[in-house]
Amino acid sequence: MSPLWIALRLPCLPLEALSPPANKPCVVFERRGNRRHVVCGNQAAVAAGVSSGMALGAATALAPSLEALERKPVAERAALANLAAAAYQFSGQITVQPTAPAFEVHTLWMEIGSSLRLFGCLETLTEKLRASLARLGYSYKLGVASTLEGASLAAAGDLVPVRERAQVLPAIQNLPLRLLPIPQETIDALIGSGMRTVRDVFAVPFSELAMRFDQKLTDYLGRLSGRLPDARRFYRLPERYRRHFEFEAELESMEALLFPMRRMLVELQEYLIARDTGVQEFSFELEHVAGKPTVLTVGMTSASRDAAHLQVLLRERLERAPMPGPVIALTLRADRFASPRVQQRGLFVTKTSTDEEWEIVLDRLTARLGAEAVHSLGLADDYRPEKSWCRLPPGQGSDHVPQKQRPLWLLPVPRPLTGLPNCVTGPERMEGGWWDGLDAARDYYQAQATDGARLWVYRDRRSGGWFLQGLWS
Amino acid sequence: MSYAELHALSNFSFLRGASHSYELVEQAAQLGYEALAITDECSMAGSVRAWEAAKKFGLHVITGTEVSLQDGLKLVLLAENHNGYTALCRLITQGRRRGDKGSYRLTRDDFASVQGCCALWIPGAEIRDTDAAWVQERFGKRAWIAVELHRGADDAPRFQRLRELSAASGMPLVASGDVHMHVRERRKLQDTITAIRHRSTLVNAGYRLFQNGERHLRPLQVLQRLYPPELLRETLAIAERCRFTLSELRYEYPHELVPQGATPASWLRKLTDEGSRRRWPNGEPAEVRALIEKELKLIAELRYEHYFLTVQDIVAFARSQGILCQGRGSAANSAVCYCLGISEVDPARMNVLFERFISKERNEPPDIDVDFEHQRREEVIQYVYRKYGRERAAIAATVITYRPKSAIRDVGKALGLALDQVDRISKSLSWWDSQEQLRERLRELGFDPDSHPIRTLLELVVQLLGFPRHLSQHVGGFVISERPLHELVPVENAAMPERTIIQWDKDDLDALGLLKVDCLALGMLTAIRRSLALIAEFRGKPFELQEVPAEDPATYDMIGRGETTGVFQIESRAQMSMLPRLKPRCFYDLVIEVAIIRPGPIQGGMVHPYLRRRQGLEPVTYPSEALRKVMERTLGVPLFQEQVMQIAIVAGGFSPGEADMVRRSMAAWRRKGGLEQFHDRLQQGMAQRGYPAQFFEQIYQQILGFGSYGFPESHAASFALLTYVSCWLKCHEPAAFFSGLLNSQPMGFYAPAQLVNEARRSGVELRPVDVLASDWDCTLERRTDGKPALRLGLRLVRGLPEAEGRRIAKARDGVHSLDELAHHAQHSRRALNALADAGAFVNLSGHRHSSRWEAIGIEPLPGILAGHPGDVAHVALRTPTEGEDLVADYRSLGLTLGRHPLSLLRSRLQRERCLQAGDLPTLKNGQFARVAGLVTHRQRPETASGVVFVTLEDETGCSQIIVWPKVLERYRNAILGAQLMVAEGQIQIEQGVIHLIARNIYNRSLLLGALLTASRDFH
Repeated sequence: MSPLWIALRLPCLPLEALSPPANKPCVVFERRGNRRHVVCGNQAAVAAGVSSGMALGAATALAPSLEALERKPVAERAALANLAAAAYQFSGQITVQPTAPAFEVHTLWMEIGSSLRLFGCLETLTEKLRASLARLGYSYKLGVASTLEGASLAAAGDLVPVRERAQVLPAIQNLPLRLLPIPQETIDALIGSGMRTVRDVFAVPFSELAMRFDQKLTDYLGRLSGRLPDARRFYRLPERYRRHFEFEAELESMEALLFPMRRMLVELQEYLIARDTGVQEFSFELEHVAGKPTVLTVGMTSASRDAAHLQVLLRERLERAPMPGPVIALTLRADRFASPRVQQRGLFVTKTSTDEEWEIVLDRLTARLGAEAVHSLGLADDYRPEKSWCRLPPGQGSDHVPQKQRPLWLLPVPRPLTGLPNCVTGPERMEGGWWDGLDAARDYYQAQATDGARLWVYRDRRSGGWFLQGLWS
Repeated sequence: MSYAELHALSNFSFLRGASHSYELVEQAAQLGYEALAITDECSMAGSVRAWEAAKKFGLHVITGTEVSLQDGLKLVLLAENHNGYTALCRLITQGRRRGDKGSYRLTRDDFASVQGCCALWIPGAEIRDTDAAWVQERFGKRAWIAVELHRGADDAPRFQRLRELSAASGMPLVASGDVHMHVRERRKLQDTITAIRHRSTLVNAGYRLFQNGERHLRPLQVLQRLYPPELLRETLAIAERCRFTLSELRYEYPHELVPQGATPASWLRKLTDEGSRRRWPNGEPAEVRALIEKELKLIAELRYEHYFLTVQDIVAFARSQGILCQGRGSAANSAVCYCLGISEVDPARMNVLFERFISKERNEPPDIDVDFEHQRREEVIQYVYRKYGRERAAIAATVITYRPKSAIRDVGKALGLALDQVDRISKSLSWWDSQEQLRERLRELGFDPDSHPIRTLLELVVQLLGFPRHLSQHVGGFVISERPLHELVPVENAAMPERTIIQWDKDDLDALGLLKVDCLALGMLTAIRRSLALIAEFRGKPFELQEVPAEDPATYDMIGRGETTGVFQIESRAQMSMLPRLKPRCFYDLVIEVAIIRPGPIQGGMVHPYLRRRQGLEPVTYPSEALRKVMERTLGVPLFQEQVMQIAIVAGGFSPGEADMVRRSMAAWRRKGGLEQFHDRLQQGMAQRGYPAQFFEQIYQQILGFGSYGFPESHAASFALLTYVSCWLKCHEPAAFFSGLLNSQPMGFYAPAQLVNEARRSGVELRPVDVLASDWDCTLERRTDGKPALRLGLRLVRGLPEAEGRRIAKARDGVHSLDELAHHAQHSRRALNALADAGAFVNLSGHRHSSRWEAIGIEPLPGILAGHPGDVAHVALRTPTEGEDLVADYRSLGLTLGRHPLSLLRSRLQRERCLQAGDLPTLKNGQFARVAGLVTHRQRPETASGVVFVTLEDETGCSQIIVWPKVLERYRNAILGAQLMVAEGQIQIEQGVIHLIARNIYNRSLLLGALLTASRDFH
């Protein structure tokens, strides 16, 4: 079977990877030095006259309400990985451009010569591929040719599939040479010498080209025409865990569910051991006869591979989740892995185990109460007492120095005082917070309560009213 | 019990102080303070303004500074007397010169020679006994411990600790306020600029902000509650010691210019007489001699000899180096300056003007700006540094202040708005000016102008406007002194390496009566000098500026037709449309033409009355017989700054001194306000003398208009001379004129493409860039008929390094192939490509395609092979089409000598019924027309209330399009984006000036394909 390549050119990937707003003009820009240039834009932006390579300032002048997002290579790689994963159902040989230099279009290639039989014919395969791409929502141009580089040109030039190697050159020869993925200066030099099409370039003896340009050019032309082999590093699926389980009968009780779940967790444990890693988060998807599936996600403070521990956490989670109805299938997913803390018992056995026990307690609390309900306390830089603390992820501390003369106990909301307090020290004046609409102007005092308690009170400088803010124990 | 605030920062402590010094001074005076020290951080940049405010509000203002040393020690130093002030200037200079621009570095060792100052030690969060000991040891009886209480949590224990320290050391305590704003209400702004200083948002600024707004000028009773009386009393004692004010400063111009045995007066007279003999070899006219005598007498009385001699010396240096220069300004057009060679404005041409330029009554310091060729001004600057040394010569500062754009950006960022939001808001401001329009714009951009964040933003922005941000270099204003400058004012580093600036700007110098010499750069002088040199070379004999004949009718004819592309000053679209109406016939007409299209006369509504009177459509009348003298030369319509001031004197009853105050306020009112006080006085004065209210209003509007760009007759006269010379050159020596212009790029209003087109329209033969014929610069070649042709220079080739371009002329002798030339001239690949793309090899290797192919095939061969080209296989390359050549011309040279791009598109445009620019004069007023052209200019003059002017160029010339705001809104994208534009609308013909009032605009740039045209936008 001779190879056949599909190339997907993804001109808007940098934008689409950032899930931009659809209803207004939006572009992705890139910095070069201290100048910012448009990489690509959505339809609304293009309609306003914005084009690739334009200075961002000029683009904003054309579309004043333009939203400009900075290019994120990480997001682009993730989007490409996502596409590659989707493409895996059609081909085992997938390759992407390793890096996308400025203004070069992201391209993904898949070899389909070997999978054609599986799908019947090229048309069926491309149809399915297009359907899959439509679900993912990326814009693309698709080209088919018997060489990899030929396929990209076919995509760029909107050519019909070129299935024979001998056909590649005849098919592409009338395309303008600026479509070739070669450095701009080479293109300028060729155009400057009067060439316009791919044919013109192939008309020059390769030795003449080799004398004037980098060897990469002749290499490329060789790979394009199929005279030279095109070796690529193929994309590999990322390692992640999926296990799907369908039941013959509908399971209605939680206890009934727990049994298959335990089995699946044990399998996961074996898998984790084989990979010598632990899981930081996993999820069960519960499919019902009708309606949306229920997803239970369990996260942990530190990675674990202990099925028993995982099961305890799952159980706590399950107890809080309302069962929407009978379950017919289960999927276990685990994507986030990390090495678990290796249990090395040594001199400080008690300390280690206390820490671990504390973490287990934290995990159980989080699982039971939900991630939003459990947190550590930290200090924040703000003169206003009610803003001078913050919530941190469980187990994290802050390294700020506390302000002097502050009680540890603050009332949730300052309580108005009816009588005048017996002020001992003060005032300490505090003004600030106008930027978030909570402008404070207060004079703080330490006061003595009749029962001997030390109070932290303030007088609001605008209203003149007295308030209790906190207490010293 | 009164109080003197000894520690206050104005907004010249950049991004710390949140009030102007005049606000601080006024507030302190109102609160009944005894005195106020302005102690900006390691700076005297705000001292002159504080001193001016002191005079205005009658408050004792102390000059001082706050400094923080490298080891954290913080001091406030206050000048007791002149010595102390000098010591402070020296100290600040030391610290600033050592730091990068905008910062300073000081250590304890720097205080060894500081005398005549009171020192307040400002203890930090940690109070160190060792610091106290050092301060006391260093300053002895002049040292105090500052107690600054701001109602913090630990005020009481701190105060106790300082009391103990004072008791133990004997160093007295004094109250002070660490004032950062004049009133508590500035707290928001102070918080905001603090966040800006830390490059943070307000939300994240946290404890970097002050805990409260106590750092303002607090009422006396508040201070009395806070401090024991003895601490307040101590402030008065210190204030009493610090009596220094800037009025004591004395300043002298360098003495070395007067040789031994001569007095300044005798030496100036000698140089003047020598010059006079040079100007008038047969003896000067009697009235000129009388004028010289009168001026010399006045100069001697006012003791300005050194100033004239200094300027003369600089100008003489420039002359000796063949650098063309021209003085302007009130003193520059005196007979003395003409004799000294500072100005070329000949009293014979200028008899109308001459009398008034120096007058004792007005008591103005003489003002001379000298323009030099822009490419050679640096030589002049280096000469000044060399001659006087860096100790004694420095450039004046320019205070860069917050403008709407920068204020919105910085405040927006501090408020936490997203960067692109901030950018969008600040961009919208450059186009829409008024408050109401701004609100409308904000709404369009999706912001609610009444929402809390936007209201806050606008409120803070308005306060921040006009705040100084940093000091920059003045464009060329030198201060030169007999004594080291740092005894007068601190000197600091500028952004440019090897440049130093003083901490005062031009208004500060003005206020103190210090003289500066402006050495400015002027592109037109370069162009004129180069044109004159080309003419001399072509004729084979010298040709000097003085040889340009005066009052040439052919030149005035050309000006009257509006054919002034490329000449000095009267080349803009607005000027060109004025020329056919004004039809200048003599030099003074040019002076008026130079001055009339300016914001002052336009805002004052003076342009059209003048035009009507000039055309005889309206009788020439005068508001009074007294004013006839003032306004006779401008047909009863005041056009110049000097006239407005004369009117204030004659009609408003101002004294000459007061009129001069008006002049200075005009320059500064946008920055500081302060013209209102004149409003009422002028109104009353004019009413008393029976002038109609309408006339007053006109004059007042004009004063406001001059505020932004005052244009005095004295400058216009000097400029008009260059205008005349450039027009004469264009009229009689167009090849040399355009060569000179092209060789002086970048400068002026027009790009090379338009200059070349205009040269062609003027009948100049243009020859293309050619390695076998072109020099680096454009040159003149002799045609068979003996006339000059213009050969384009290699400098026009984009991407060609100058050094390589200059090698070509030497390397090309006997060269027969591109390969040989490349090896002789040792060209880089980059240069070869650039030359091939420019078509410069056409006579060596055929058309562009083949020369490009050949150029990229040239390899630097090693050793003996060098210069011996290898075998080249023949590759058949297509001959470029006309369109391709044209695109390549534009891409490489920015212009083409081939047909205009529009002529290649003409048949298509004709089908679309587009007219040519050349057809427009045949149309009738009000007729509908459609034109197409390359956009060469887009302009939006500030005086034209939102109207955009677009110039479209086609193969027959240029059409002027007027776009009203409504049309602009509708076709914004096309107007901003089009390179090739089609405009349709009504023709408007007014006194021979044709405009098209656009109704619809289309962007047809796609027709151009890859054609690149550069438009000069919105200058």
